[in-house]
Amino acid sequence: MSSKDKVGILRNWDIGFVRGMEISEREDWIHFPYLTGPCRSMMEDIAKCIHKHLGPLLCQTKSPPDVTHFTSPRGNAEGSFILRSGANLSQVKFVLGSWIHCRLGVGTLNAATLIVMLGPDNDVPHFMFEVIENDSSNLILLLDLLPRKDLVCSPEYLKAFYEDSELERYRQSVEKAYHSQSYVPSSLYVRSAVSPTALLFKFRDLLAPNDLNLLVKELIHPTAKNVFGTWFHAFSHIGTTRPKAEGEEKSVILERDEQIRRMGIEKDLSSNLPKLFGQEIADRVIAAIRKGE
Amino acid sequence: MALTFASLLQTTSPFSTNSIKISVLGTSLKAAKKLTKHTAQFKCNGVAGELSMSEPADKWVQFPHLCDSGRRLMEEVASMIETQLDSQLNPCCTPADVRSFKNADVDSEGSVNIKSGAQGSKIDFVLGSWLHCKTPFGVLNIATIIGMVNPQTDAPHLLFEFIQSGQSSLVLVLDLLPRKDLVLDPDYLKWFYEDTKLDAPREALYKAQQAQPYVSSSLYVRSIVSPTAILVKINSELQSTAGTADGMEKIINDVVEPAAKEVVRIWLDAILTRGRPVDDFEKDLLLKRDNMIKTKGVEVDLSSNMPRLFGQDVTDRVVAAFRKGI
Repeated sequence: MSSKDKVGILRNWDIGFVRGMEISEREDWIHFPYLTGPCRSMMEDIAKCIHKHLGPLLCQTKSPPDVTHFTSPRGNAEGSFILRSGANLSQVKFVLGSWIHCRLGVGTLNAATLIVMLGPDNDVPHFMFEVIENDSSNLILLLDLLPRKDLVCSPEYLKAFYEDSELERYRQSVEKAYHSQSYVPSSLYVRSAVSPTALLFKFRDLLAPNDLNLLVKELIHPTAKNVFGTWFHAFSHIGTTRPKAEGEEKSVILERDEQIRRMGIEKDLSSNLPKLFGQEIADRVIAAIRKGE
Repeated sequence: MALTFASLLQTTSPFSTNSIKISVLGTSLKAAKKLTKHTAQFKCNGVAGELSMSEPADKWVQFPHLCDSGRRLMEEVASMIETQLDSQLNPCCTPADVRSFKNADVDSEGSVNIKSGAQGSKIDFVLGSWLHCKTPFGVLNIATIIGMVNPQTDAPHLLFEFIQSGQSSLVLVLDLLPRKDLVLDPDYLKWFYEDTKLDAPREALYKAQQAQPYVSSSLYVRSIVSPTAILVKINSELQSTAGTADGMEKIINDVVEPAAKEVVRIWLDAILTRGRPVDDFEKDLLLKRDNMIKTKGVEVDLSSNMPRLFGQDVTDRVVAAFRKGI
C-alpha cells in the first residue's frame, strides 16, 4: 500500500471518527435558549435523558433548518421544532423537542415541549412533557403518559401501566405543593387524551423568580425525571413482556395515535402558530410533524 | 288482591342487545303481598304483568334527609327526568326491601328506586337512591341519580351524585359519561360535548370561591368521566356566612342548582334529540363498554361503603336490583 493510500484511509477513519463523535454528542440535540436557570436545566436534562435512553433507536433530525429555527416577521417571537424519527417506525414513531419564545407587550411567554410518540408494534403509553412559563411568575405544567387504549374497556392496561406504578404518588406530591392549582386545558380533546394520573398543574403569582427556581429545582425537575423513569421502565420492561399488538387491535392503536397527533398536537399548532409566525412558518412546522422527522 | 307477575328469565350473553332478566325475589314477594293498593301494569319484552308496589307509582324517588335546597334540587331533577322521559320509562318495580332498608342498629337507612326502560325506549334504566348514615364523624348523606342508556342510541349516560357530610361540606359528581373512546372518536366529542356547550356550567361552577376540584381515589372512575365532568368539593366555610346551614343552602341555590339543571337539560336533549341510532356492529361494542361502566364503575361505587354500613345482605339485594335494572 502506498503512503498516499495510507493517508487516504487515515483521513477516512478520521472523518468517520468525527462523525461518530457528532452523533454521540447529540445528547444535546435540543437547547432551550430562552429559558433560564432551573427551568432550562430541567428541559435540557430531560432531553438528554431521552437521548441517553433512546439514542440508538433514533435517527438524527431531518427537520429543515427553517423548522429547527424561525423568527416571526415582526421579530417579537422565535421558535424551534426538532423531530427525530425512530430507526424502526413501528417501535418508536418520533421524538419531538420544541420551544416558542415571544414578547407580548410588557411580558414574555416561553413554551417548551418534549414528546416521545411510539409506534404500533407496542401499546406502551406515549411520553408528554410541556412547560409554559409566563414572566417567571406563572408556570403551567403538563406531564403525562398518554394511554394507547380506551381505559374504560381495558382495566388490565390501566393496572399494568398506571395503578401498579408510582405515577399517582408523583401526581399527589405536586398537587400538595404550595401554590399548585389544577390546570384544565381549554381543549376538550387534550383533556380526553391524558391519563387518570396526568400531572396538569398551574403555579400562579409566584412572587419572585426565586420562588419559581426553587419550585422547579426541588419539585418539578425531580418529578419530571421520575415520570420519565416510569415511562422508560414501561417502554423497556413492561412493554417487552406484553404480547405484540396485531390485526384489529394494532389498527385501532394506529388510528388512535393518528388522532392524537392530529387533534392533540397539530390542532393547537394550527391555531396558534399562524397568529405568532404567519401561515407559511406554521405550515412548514406542521408538515415536519406529519413527516415525523 | 291477586298478585300476578311475569317472571322472565332469559339467558343474557354479555353481547345480547334486547333480552333483559327480570325476576322478583322470594323475600320481596312476601313483603309485596302484605301491602295493599297500586297495581302496576307493564310490558317487558312483550310480556304483560302486574305487580303490587308499596308506594304510588308517581313518586319515583324522594330525598327526605337532605337539606332543603339539596332536597329540592334532587327532587326537581328526578321530576325533570321522569316528566321528559315519560313513556320511555316503566313504573318503578323495585322490590320493597330495596326501596327501603336500614342497618341493624337502625341509625342508617337507604333507598334505591329503579325504573327500567320501556319496550323500544332508549333508556336501559334510571336510578334514584339515597343513603343516610350516622358515622362517628357526623351525618353522611349520599344522593344519586343515574340514567343508563341502552344501545339503541349513542347518547351519553347521566351520573349525578350529591354527597353531603355535615352542614358545610358537599361533594358533587355530575357528568354525561361518554359511550365511546373520545380519543378515537373526536366527532363524538364534538357532537355531544363541544357543540352543546357542556363545559360552560362546569366552568361557572369551578369559578366559585368555595369550590375545589374533587379527585376520585379510583383511577377507573377518573377514566370513565368526560372532559367536561363536574367533580367538585364545596366547602361553605370558605365564605362570609361561614359554617352556617344558610351558607350551604345559598351555594346550592345560587351556584349548584343552575349548573346541575343545565347539565341534566343537555342530557335529556341528548336522549330525545341529539342521540343517533347505532348500527348492529357498534351495538355490541357499546353494550360491552356499558357493562364495564356498570360493573367496574358504578357497581363498585355502590357496593364500596354499603357492606360496612348496611351489611352484606342488604348490599347484595341492592346490587342485584342494579344489575337487573329494576
